[in-house]
Amino acid sequence: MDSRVEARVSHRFKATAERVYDAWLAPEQVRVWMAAALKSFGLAADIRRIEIDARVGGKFFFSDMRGETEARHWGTYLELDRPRKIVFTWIIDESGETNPSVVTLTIQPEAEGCLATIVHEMDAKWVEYVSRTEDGWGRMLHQIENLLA
Amino acid sequence: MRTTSQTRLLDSTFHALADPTRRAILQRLTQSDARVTDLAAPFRISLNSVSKHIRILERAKLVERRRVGREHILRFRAEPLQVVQDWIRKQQDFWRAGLEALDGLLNQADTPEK
Repeated sequence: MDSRVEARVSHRFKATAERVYDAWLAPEQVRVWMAAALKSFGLAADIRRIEIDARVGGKFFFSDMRGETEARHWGTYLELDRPRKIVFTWIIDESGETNPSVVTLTIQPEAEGCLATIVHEMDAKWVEYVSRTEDGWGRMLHQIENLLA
Repeated sequence: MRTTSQTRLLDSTFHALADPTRRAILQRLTQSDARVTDLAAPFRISLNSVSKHIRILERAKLVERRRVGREHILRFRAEPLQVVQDWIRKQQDFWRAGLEALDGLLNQADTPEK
């Protein structure tokens, strides 16, 4: 059983793995899809900054206005392996600098298009803790979910 | 956006859950409230050691203690776990929306070529 604390989502694309990969690193494309994603949340999608330094160790910075506040997201690219994988840290406030959450985008080419999976891991420290324990955090959460249902 | 106090709550919750004994204590408490001595019984560790685990769970607000006469009764509280679940769900919603929007963009870009 997977015992890491993570948010995981997958999506099947008709577009090729290369196109999906490139859309994550081209600022003008990120601006368009991120704005659409924010709008789907009912947010203004008033994007202020999209900066991408697409190399390992390079940083990115995204921000959009949520009312009076500028919601800022930034991080560092840890792995760039076109077209299969992008790994980056994902930070939303200064308190996250010391122990950032890590996002892994995996793109699996398929006969028609590709399958993209995003795994957003809570933090490396926690992942290390749980991998040492026998019991699953997943089972725990599942039990709690039943309890709250 | 995540506030600092929420981050702190997440940290203390994860710390509390990162131990099999503490998770077993919580699982026991999801069934019913229990005394400290009841909780110590199934574990082959000292009462003192169980108390230490319980204190960590209390600090994370996963366990609440009340006194009935000389007894200390412990109760499970699910609220901090709800914060963790909410965090996971929020990230999932965010990334799902991103992938769907990207799919829309790439499909749009396809149309003129066809």
